[in-house]
Amino acid sequence: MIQAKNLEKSYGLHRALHGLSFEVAKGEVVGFLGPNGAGKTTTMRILTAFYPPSSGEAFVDGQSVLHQPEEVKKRIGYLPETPPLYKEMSVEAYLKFVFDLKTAGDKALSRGSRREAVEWAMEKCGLTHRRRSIISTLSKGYRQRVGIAQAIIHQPPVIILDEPTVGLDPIQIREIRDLISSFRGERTILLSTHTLSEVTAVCDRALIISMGKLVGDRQLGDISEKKSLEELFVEVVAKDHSGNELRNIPSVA
Amino acid sequence: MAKVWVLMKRELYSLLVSPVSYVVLGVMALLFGYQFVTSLLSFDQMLMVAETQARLAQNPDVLNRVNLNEMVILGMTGYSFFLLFLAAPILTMRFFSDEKAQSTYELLLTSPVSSWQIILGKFAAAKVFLLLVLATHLIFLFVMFFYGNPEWRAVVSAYLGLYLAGLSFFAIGIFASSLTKSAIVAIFIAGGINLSIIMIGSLGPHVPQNLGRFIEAASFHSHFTEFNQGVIQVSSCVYFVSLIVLFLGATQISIRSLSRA
Repeated sequence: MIQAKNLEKSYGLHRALHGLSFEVAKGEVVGFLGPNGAGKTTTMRILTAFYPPSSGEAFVDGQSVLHQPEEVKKRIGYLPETPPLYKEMSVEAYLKFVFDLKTAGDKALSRGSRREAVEWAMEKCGLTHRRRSIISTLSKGYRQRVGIAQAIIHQPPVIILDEPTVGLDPIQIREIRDLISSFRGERTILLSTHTLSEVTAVCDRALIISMGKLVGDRQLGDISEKKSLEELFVEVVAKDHSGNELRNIPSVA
Repeated sequence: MAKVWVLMKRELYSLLVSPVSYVVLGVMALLFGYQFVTSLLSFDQMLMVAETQARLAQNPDVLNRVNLNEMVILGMTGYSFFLLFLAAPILTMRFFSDEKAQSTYELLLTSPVSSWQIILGKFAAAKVFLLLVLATHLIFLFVMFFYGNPEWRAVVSAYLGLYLAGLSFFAIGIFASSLTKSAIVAIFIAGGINLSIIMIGSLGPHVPQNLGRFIEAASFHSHFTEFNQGVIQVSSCVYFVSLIVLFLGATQISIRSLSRA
């Protein structure tokens, strides 16, 4: 469903991605794990056709991000690290707008499809009772739910979530994780995180990325894999420039 | 077109729920009303003087010198031009700066819409809002036509000029807003550009002839003045449309650079 082939991305002199390649199969929930600055957001922005790679190629549902960006954009739902919310709008009005934005000009849609889609997304994300709330008055957890609702509202086959639980309290984190888990099997999900527990809690597979390179690819089916993932992640963080001091901690080294 | 419509509705919604829009609209209406009353009173005074002179000189032609179009309407549209010059940067300051500040540009740029559709959606909302601003003049026009007998063609020409000039100010404001995350910075950039293209005309007489002619042709104010004096010239229409296209085109480059970072 997602293919990344030798992705490179440079910002001026800084190279964020160094030949990153991976594949995600249909229906998989894949965690993109790496320390801050590893290149997770850059990869996600390339996959959502927000910007093109400096070199390499990526495909979403068989469509090229370079040559068919419009088709790719139709097929993905994306939650950036900061939920993209118009805070002056009500939850319902905002979701109606996003649905229209994603589907405008689609003649196959019937009249009632927008209402159905908005109701479905609100119900799925537990927002029905807050439908008339102005987004600026919502808590961070609810805003994150609205962010996820806008990513799924047009029923895309691929959902990309950039650090979906960052900054939330433990109860909100559990709620968002349960929400993501509820899409298992229905949609292909790629989510990024810098915390290991996130991946082990919701993902089928983990891709570990460090300094723009893929350094590990683990299925999370059994405990031994989980353990090796943990070891690998600690190693990656320790290797990372900012994590050098971790080696001096006895329990880590 | 459907996508432009969707984006226009959302932008208009934001404009219409924002207290800033109502404060700007209210202050503009208040200043416009004040100016209208004072210019009407001074017109009335001049009319009385002219009537006395006509009676004393037994020459009714003196009354022709007191013209409602020239003395009231022309002044009012000129004054509105000045108000729009001040208000447009405030009304457009959030058009793109807020999209950047709230990260909503990531939603727009990862949705199946082009950067032109995004810009035209916002510009269409600005057009509707400008019509709303001009709609506040209807009371003034009603009073003018009900109690007086102004030359309607000149009024149409002045308002066409005002509309085109207003749209140019909005296009400049949208461009300024696309350059920054800060609404305040956007106001200053738009104000600076507006002032530059208005002031450039005053350089005309002080530079060599050919350059002077070019500057004269590039002057915002001289083109608006033509409309305001009842002269609709193709060159002036082309001037304003070019200005709008130029600044919306520059906005498009600015927006595309966001996704080229």
